[in-house]
Amino acid sequence: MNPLRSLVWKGEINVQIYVEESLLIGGKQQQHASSKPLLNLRFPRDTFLPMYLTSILNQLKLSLKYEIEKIIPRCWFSYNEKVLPWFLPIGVIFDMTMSNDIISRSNDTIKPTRRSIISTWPIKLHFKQKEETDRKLPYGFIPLIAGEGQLESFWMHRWKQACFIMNGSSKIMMQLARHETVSFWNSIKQRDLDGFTEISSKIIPASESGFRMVPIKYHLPYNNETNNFESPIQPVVKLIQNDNSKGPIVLQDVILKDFPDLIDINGEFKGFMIAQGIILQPSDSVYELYSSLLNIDGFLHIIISNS
Amino acid sequence: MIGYNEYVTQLNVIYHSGQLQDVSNCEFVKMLPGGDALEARFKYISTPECNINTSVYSLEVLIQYDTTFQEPQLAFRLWQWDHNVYKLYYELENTPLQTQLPPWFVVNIDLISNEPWYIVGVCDTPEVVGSSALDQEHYMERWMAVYLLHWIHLLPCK
Amino acid sequence: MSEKSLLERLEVRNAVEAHYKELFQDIITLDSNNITTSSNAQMNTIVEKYREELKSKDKDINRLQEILDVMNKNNERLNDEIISMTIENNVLEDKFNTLNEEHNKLVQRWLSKVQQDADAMNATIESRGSR
Repeated sequence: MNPLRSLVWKGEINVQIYVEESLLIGGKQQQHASSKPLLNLRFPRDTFLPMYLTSILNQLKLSLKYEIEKIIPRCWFSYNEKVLPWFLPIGVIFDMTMSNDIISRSNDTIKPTRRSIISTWPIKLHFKQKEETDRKLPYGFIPLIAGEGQLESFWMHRWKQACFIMNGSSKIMMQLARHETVSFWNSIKQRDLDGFTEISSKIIPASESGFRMVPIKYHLPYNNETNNFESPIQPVVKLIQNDNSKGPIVLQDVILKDFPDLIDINGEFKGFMIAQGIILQPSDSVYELYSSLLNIDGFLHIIISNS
Repeated sequence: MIGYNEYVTQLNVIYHSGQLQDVSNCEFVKMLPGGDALEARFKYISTPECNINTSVYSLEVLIQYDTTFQEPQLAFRLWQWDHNVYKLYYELENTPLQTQLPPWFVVNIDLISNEPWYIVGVCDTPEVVGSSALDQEHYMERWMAVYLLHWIHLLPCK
Repeated sequence: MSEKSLLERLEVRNAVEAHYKELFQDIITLDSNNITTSSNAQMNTIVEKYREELKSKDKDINRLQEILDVMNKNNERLNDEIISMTIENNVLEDKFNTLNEEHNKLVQRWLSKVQQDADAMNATIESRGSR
């Protein structure tokens, strides 16, 4: 077992859940109710927020104005009033919204592990009633109407894309036996790395030369000026050098194709690339990055900040 | 599989042939700026068996190019006529439309321009439409027949 | 920035993100901690009852709000009417004042005319008597 994979898999973040006042019993009378977190929870980075929605709502049940079943299809989470793209792995959304914190903690060369730093992620739960006509459902909102099956199907679709990018066809995915797809999804739910690796290794080519292309998504960090999260960029990344130069393809080789501004006139690399909560180096091997840091949806998600 | 340029050419041929516009419940067909995506609306009226209330819908259809799979992609969403305006309707499970769609459709909800759409899975397109080497010239025509035309005209609209 | 291996970077990440983790409840064990005891179930029924009550109260509020809206509209209409009446009243009062003044003048003129007539008559009688 790759020791890096197990470190990645163990990644967890501290999340503070706030709740919109109109969702709380007596919320309008005591407006401070929505200004303090109602739950402090620790989430695995490589999971999806909707997977835990029912348990979160169950914890809040006694304070909620409406029945849980009524809330689920019409609720969403936000960070700074911006709807979270909750069908991305939690860690990816965290890195998009907290990129500045991750950059500053990586600059802390003295002792980054000292206890004085506490990293928390404040997110807010919202709900829009069907009868409310004066408020629209926000942009970027995906309704949860078919429960866990909807998430599983969405996740499966991402893997089909990733499989196609790596192998030039989705046949491997189609040929998985029913029990294999079931155990693949269960490995996500039960946080079982061995189970995940067993199936994913059937889809991911065994060696660098087996890759047609690498499934990568670039994300721009959250910034205050835009109203929504921007759609990710899906680059064409091949692992074969165009010229005859030897050595592995490194991140800088591929990233400059889509972000030429990341290099200044002196040829110095500026800007930051983040994946799985760590800063990536321009000299990191793309193959190594993918095989160590890939997310549960088969993609390597990289947040690119040119500040 | 179909290359992007070939896709655009064939899509435009279909648009100008009027075969979509000729579907009896078609409200309009529009080529989007850029010429590589088609938007269309179809009227759809459902009368649930146990319910005297009929619901009037407009089914919005979007055909665009999926660059990952290099295949056309079908997306749709439902607008319900309610108090003199069309409102976006998500609960597909609660409408009889579910039974009108081809059973082999793998449908997911995903964002297009930050709005939720039902998107039909693309990855098995070659198996559904037939090998492109077969008759590449009419690839889009075959695709359109299998993915859209054969079921859309069966939607009740009276 | 120092070049650290992926392993080191991930170890630092896990260490930093685990600070004060004792303050945060593990989401995975969340449901198992929340085993429904009998008192909890009782609590749930009570909350359910209150939620229903809240719903009906909310409906009441909406209904009363509507009534209030109608009342407010009526009130506004009446106010408008009062204003227009006041204006009309003012106009009439002005008219009355002018008429009253005119009337007084006429009475004055009539009185002085009567006086004149009386004076003339008296003068005639006097001159006859002295003859």
